[in-house]
Amino acid sequence: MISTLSIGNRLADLAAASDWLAAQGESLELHAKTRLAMRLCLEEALANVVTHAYADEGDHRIRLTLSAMADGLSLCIEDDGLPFDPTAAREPAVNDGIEKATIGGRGLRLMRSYATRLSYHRDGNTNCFILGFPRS
Amino acid sequence: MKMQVHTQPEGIAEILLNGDLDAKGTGEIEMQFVAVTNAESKVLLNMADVGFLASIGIRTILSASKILNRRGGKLVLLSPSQAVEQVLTTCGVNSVVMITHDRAAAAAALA
Repeated sequence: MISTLSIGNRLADLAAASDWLAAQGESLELHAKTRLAMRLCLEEALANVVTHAYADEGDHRIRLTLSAMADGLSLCIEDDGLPFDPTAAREPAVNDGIEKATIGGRGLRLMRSYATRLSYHRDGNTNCFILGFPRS
Repeated sequence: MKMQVHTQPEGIAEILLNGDLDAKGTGEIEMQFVAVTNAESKVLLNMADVGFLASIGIRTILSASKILNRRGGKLVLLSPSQAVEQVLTTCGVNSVVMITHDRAAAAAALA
């Protein structure tokens, strides 16, 4: 494990996560493209969690863990929200014209495009979503 | 995220954004952005100084484009950086909203 961070489940907490990840990217001397990919995927994954994961209005904690793996970097996002597997979720269809365009649902497409791999498992009452990135 | 609005010839409202369109940045300008796109019919969104774009920002852009379209208006995106444009095309925004690096072409599209 390289670093871990615990944040709250409000949109305002995303900035702290982004700052943490930027510091890790600088420390690891990652390429700008990799840093962008990681920042984008983290933003998308956390936005999904804070927006959709909780059935209540209460405070929850989200744990972020950055690790070095044999094939690159691994960013694990753990939350105690409702069970949700992002790897199995469907993306909205490509739209034909602005009138038919769906407004949301693009975060998943971005994560699938910018991360080298995605995996998910549920551990008790915890969603564990893991994104992979190159270590360069 | 900072937002400025300049009135260009032919009644085009140019919105200049400076900063990141992440959750924080989008939240900072959303109300003002919606107010402008609700009031105008020809909107040029200058993205040259947008350093980062997430889907929450794309949501705001598409929502505004839809509303403008329904009123017979139009939104054109101008000069996103390469990284921002890649996010836009990955999400298919380019197939529903014009993206150009040519100001004259943008003005012609909005005429």
